[in-house]
Amino acid sequence: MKNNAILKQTKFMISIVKEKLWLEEMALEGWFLTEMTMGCRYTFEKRVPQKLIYEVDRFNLPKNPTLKEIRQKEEFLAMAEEMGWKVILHDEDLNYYFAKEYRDGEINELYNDFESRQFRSDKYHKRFKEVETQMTKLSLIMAILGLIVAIANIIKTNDNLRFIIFLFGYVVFCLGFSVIYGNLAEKLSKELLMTTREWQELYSNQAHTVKNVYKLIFTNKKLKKFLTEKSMEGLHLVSMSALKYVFSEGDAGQYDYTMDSKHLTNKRIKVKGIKKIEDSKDWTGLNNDWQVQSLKDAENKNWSFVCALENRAILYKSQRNMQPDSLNDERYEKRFRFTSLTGQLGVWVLIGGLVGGVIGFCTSHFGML
Amino acid sequence: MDPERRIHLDELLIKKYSPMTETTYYTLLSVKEPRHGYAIMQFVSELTKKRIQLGTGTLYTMLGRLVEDRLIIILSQDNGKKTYRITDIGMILMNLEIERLRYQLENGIQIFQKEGQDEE
Repeated sequence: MKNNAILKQTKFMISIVKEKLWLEEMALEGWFLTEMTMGCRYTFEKRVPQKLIYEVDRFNLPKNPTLKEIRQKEEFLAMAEEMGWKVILHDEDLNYYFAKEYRDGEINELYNDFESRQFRSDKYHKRFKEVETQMTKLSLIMAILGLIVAIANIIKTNDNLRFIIFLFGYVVFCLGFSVIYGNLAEKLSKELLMTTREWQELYSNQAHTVKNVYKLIFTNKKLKKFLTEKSMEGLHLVSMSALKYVFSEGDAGQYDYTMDSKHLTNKRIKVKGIKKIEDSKDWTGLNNDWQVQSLKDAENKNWSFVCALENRAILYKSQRNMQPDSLNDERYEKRFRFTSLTGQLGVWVLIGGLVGGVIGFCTSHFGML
Repeated sequence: MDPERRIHLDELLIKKYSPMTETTYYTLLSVKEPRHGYAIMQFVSELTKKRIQLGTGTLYTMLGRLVEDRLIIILSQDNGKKTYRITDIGMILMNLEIERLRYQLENGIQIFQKEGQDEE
C-alpha cells in the first residue's frame, strides 16, 4: 500500500465551492488530495474510490491574539475531529482543507445554517479586504516615493527615469491586485452564503440554458429587429450591455421589444401636463423615480419588463399576438441607442478633469510654480 | 456591574432570543445537563429524530455566541474538549421561550383548527 500512484495537477480555481466539488469528483475516481502548494498545485494519491466531502475553512489568526483567540482553533479542530472531519492540509494562506466520508442522512456540510454560513463568509470577506487594503497602502507609498524622486529629478536633472518607471510598474501591479482582491472578497463571501445545493442550482443551470451573443448594434430599430429574430429562435433576452447580449433558452414565439428612457418618459408626462421628473441632487443618476413611472406606463400598455440598462433605459417586451400599443412615438425608433458608461465614475472623471483644467489654466495664465 | 445596566442588558438579550431559532432552542435543551460538543449534536439529533442536525461549524459558531451572551458556561476543558452547561440567564430565557411557544400554539389551534371543525 506504500507506493500508491501519484498525480500532480495544476489548476487555478477562484471559486471555493467549485474547488470543493472538483476535489469530491476526484475522490470518486479514486484520487485523494494529499498536498497542495501555491494555491494551484494539487497532489493526489490513488486509493479505493470513496464518496468524500471536502470543506475549506480558515481561522483568521490575528498577529496579536487574545487568549481566547489562541484557543479557538484548537477547540474547532477538536470538535471537527469528533464529528468525523479530518484536516488534510493547509495552504500558504492558512486555509484549512477538511475531508469527511459522506454519510446518508447525516450532516455533510461544515456549516448548515444561515447564521454560521454568514460567520464563515465574513471570515473570507475580511481576509480578502485585508489584502486589498495592504496592496492599496503599498501602492500609495510607492506613488509618493515616485513623486518625490520625480521632483528631485526636476530639480537636479539627474537621470532617475528607470527608477520612476520601476515605481510606476509597482504601483500599477499593487493597484491591480487590490482591485482583484476587492472583487474576490465580494464574490467569495456571496457564494459562501449559499448551500452547496443552492450553488449548484444557480451555476449549473445557468451554464446550460444561457447563451451569450456578442454584437455591435447602433440604432434602436436594428436592436429590436435583432431581438425579435432571436425570440423566434426561442432565445429570450435576459440582460444586455454595450456589446454582450445574454439570452435564456425557452419556447419560440414572436416578441416585440421596445426601449424606454428618462427622456422619453418625461415627454409622455409632458403631454399629460404633469410636472417633469427631475432631481437636481441626483448626480449619479441613480434616482429611479422615472423608472417607476415608466413601468406604470408600460404595464398599462401590455409591455413587460426585460432588463434595465444602467439606470438610463429600460427594455420591455410583449408577445406579438397581444398587439401592444406602442409606448413611444415611432420617430424615436431610428435614434442612436445609448448605453453609456457614465455613472458615478463618469462624474468623478468630470470633476477631476475640471479641477485639472482650472489648475492648468491658473498656472499658464498667472505663471505660478 | 450596577443593577440598572444589568437589567438593560437582559432586556436586550430577551429581544435577541425571543423568538429563538430552533437550533438555539434545542442546543439550550441539550445543555440542561453538562455536555460537550459532540454529545450536544447527538442529543439534538436523537431528540428531533435527525430532523435537526448541527454541522461542526454551525455548532461551534452557536456555542461561541451563547457563551458570549452568558446563556451557557464552560464547565471544564481538556485538550480543546469543552463541557457546557446552561446558566441562570439561559434558564430564564428558555422558560420565556417555552411560554411564548405555548401561547403561539394555543393561538394557532384556536383560530385555525377550530375554524376547520366548523366548516366540517
